[in-house]
This record gives sequence, C-alpha cells and structure tokens, in this order.
Amino acid sequence: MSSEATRSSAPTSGKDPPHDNKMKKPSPATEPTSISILSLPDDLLINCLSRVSRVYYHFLRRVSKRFRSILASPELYATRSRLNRTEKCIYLYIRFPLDPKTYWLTLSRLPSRNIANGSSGYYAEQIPCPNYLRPAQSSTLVSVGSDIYKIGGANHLHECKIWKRNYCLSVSVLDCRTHTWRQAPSMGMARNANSTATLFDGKIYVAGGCDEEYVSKPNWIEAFDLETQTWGPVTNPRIFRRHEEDRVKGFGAKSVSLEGKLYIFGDESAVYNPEEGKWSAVGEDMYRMSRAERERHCVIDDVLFLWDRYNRVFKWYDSKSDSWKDLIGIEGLPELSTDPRVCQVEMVDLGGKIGFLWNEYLYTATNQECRIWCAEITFERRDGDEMRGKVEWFDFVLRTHESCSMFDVVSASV
Amino acid sequence: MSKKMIVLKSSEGVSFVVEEAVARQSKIISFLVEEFPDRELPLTNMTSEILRKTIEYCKKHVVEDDGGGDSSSSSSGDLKEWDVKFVAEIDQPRLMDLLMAANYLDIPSLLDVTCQKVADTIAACNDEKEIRATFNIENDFTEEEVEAIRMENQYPI
Repeated sequence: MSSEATRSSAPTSGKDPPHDNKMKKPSPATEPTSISILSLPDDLLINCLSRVSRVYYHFLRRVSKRFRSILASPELYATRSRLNRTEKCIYLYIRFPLDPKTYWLTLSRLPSRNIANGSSGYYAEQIPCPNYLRPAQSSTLVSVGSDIYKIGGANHLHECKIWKRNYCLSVSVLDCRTHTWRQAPSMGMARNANSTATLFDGKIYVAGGCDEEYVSKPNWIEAFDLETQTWGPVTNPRIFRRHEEDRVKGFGAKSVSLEGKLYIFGDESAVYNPEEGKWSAVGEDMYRMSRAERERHCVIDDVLFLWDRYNRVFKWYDSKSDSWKDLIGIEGLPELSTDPRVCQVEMVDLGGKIGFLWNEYLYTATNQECRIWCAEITFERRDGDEMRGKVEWFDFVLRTHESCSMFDVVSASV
Repeated sequence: MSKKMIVLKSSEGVSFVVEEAVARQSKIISFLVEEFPDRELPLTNMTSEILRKTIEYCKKHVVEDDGGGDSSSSSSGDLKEWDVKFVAEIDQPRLMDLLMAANYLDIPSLLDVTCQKVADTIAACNDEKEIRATFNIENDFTEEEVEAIRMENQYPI
C-alpha cells in the first residue's frame, strides 16, 4: 500500500503543515502503516536530528535534500542548544609551504559498525573553503560560539609587497553550523600569526602580531565588539615587547581569559580587570602563571592547562598557590618528541575535556607522511589541589603529505 | 475512594478505559477532560495499536498521589531502563506513529524517548544508504548533485 503519508513525504523545508495534518489519516485497523521519517513535520524531524552527534552529520547530509536543508537550518542548531545537545567540535587548519590553498577540516566519526578493531573511528574531514581565503599561510584563530574568527595572517600575494604578505587587516568568519564563510569588518592594524586573540567580556581582544614600527601605536591592542560588530582601540594597555629575536616576526603576544580577568603576556605581562576598567601589571602573586605563554596552553572550565613538553606532562595552574601542578593519572599516550620542530602540539577545550593534538612524521622506505593525532582527556578535581586526568581515546585522525608544515586547532560550539 | 476513569476511543472505534491520572500525562487529554467531563474522547487519528502503546507508557510513568506525597510507581533508574526496552521493541514505522502520537497528545517525556530512539537508530546506521533503507527515504539527489556532494568532501592531497 502506498499510504497517503508516503506520497506526500517530500516537503523541502520551512513551514510546518497545520497541526491537524501532522497526524496521518486513520488507516484500516489491521493494515500496518509504513510511513517514512520524512512524513514527520519539520519540528519533529529537527527534534530527532538535533540529538544525533555532530560527528555523524557528514553522512546525514547525503541522505536526502530535506535532511540536507534541515542540517543547514538555524532551527536545528537552536534545538540542539535548547535540548542541551551543543557539542564542542574540533576544527583543523593545515598548511603546506608551497601550496597557496587553505585546508580546513573538522573531526568526524565513522558510524560505529564501520569502525575497525582498535580504531577510534574519528577522522578529519575536509570542509569547503573559498578561493578568496588564499593564500592563508598563517592566521590567528578564535572561536565565538559556533563561529571561528580567522584574524589577520597572509594576504593575497598580488596585493602586497612580499615582506608584507604575512600581515593583513582582514577577518574572515567560518560559521561552523553551515560551513559557510563571511567577511567581518577589518582590523585597524595589519597582523600576522604572532598575534593573539581572546574572547573576553563580549569582545575579541587582539594584541601583537604587528610590525615593529607600530608597537607604540594605540591600536597595538584592539577589540572587536561582537554586539556592535565594530573594532575599537583598547584604552590604557601597558605596552610591552617580546624578546629581541622574535621581533623580526613581528611582535608576538599571548593572552588568556581566566577567573574573570584578561591576561596578555609579552616581555612584561598585563592584566585587565573589567570591574575596575583598567590594566595593570600582573602581580607577584600570579607571577608563575606567565609560564603558559611559552608552552601550548588552554583554558578549560576556568582552569589553565599547559603541556610541559620536556617532562611530557600536563600541568594546571593553581592560582591560590601560584604554582603549576601535574595532571596526574594520564596513561597510554605515546612518547612525544620534545623538539617543537619535530612535534607540534595543540590543546583545545572540548567542553570540559582536553582536546590534545600532535603531529608525527613517518619515513619508511616506500612512504613518507605526516599524521595528525588527537586525544580526548577528561579531568576532575579532587580535594581542591589535586587534578586527575584520564585518556578517553587517542588515534590519528589525518594522514597527509609529509610537507604539512603547521596546523592550528580550534573548537567551536555547534 | 475509587479512581476516576475516562474512556479514550481509537480511530477504529475501540474504547480504552483508563485511569484519569494516567491519561492526564497528555496535556491535550488533561485539557479535554476538564472541558468535556464524563464523555468519551475520540482520538480519530490514532490506531488502537498506537493508543495501546501510548497508554502502556503512561501507566508506567504515572505519578501516584497515595496521600503520602507524590511518589512515582518506579524509581527513575528503573524507569529509564524500562523506557529503553519499551522503544527497543517497537519497529521503525510504528515508532514514527508513536512519535507523532506523543507530539499530538503533548506527552513531552514520550516525545523525548521516541525522538532519542530515532536519533540512536540513525547514528547506528553504516552510511546514508542504510539510513534511507531504514527510514523509507527516497534518494532525491540528481547525479550531478551526488557528484557535487562527493567533491565537497574530497581531500586532494
């Protein structure tokens, strides 16, 4: 029997039918109905799909046009948020020295039954990236909700002189719900990848990464107001410089938002207290915190973590005692190289968990490749001053050309 | 004191006598009972089979007021386990019917478990073809669109 519901099962998107039509027509008592999931009105189909983990959306998009249109709809993401199903998703941004293209990938997962023994099933899948973002050798990334802001970095080759090409004013935004890009208003100052960007108090604070000659200019630090979508100068920041040898690369800086304050690290470090509305030097009582600047670090649930590459341990900053403590209980990770030129590591917030990524170069007689690995690490605090972590899984998520020179990682809430 | 009973009638005209407290988990029935007390409530868009299932769910989830304060007939852990079994036993087309019934009768917890079951079934599928087969979906992409979709995920290195 071709039921009423089956035949009328392909509304594309948009409006719900009137409530009365939601139910199928009464059918004979003994006849089992066979209705398609597509006969569900949009709100119910959205309710179902919003509960599926985002890592599976890559193959849901290929099911049908209606699935595809729903997966790109704002309503789906509003429902994920309402049902508390928003997930932190990993995005990778990888570069090759002689390739002008930009490669963006997101962490996806094979359906459970397809996963081979011993594999996590996770892999990095490429997402579209428009031509106008080429070349993009290096930029600073920061996520705001479901958006990733790609700040400054390399400009179009033909538009600027060769030594200026790693600096630009432009800001591109990736909407991680739809995987579409848009341009945001440009900054006041051109910056390269040595800049730092942190979301704080409704604004993206961007510092450093600019040419030496601009270091005393008021725009050395600027902030993007997300509500008004405008860039503005930041008043009264302390001016500081990084080490001499770094200056050729432009003035670098690092920043973190922790315990309600914004910290910017350079040769000297500064802290912004929004309650007082002013900047000051980081006090003696937080002196050791600046170690994070020299290591790969990440703030998760208002705890600052770093990867101590020499001792191969995660450390967390205890602000009460101004000390770095080991994250204990981490077992099973491979022994990573201590040389940052051989092994790059990255850390991101996976929604209360640590996303830890690193690369590995493999050279065999027949094959050379670069592998990017990912580990998911949970942690819990015990008795206030002890933090215990656990490696939930780790696996390589991408095999790529050996020339892969750098990768960046950011997580967005989708 | 005997419990108040109400009568629900399926699309086939079969009557189900249900305790009012059980039926009142549906916000729609709750409303109708107050508007039309002592009347049979015809549910013309629900088959007997789906109505029976819905009542089975509501009976399990009813919160009984036995005078000593509210107490659910089961602990919440048991209830969750029961829910999992309940939806596991339902085949896919009937799951759709039950989901729509939960929506129509406005029973949020039943809508929740049925939608979750659909989501879990989708996530357990091997690929898009299996989703189509499981949920009776027609592949409405043209060959060009299929090719375009394939290209957008292609990794060129």
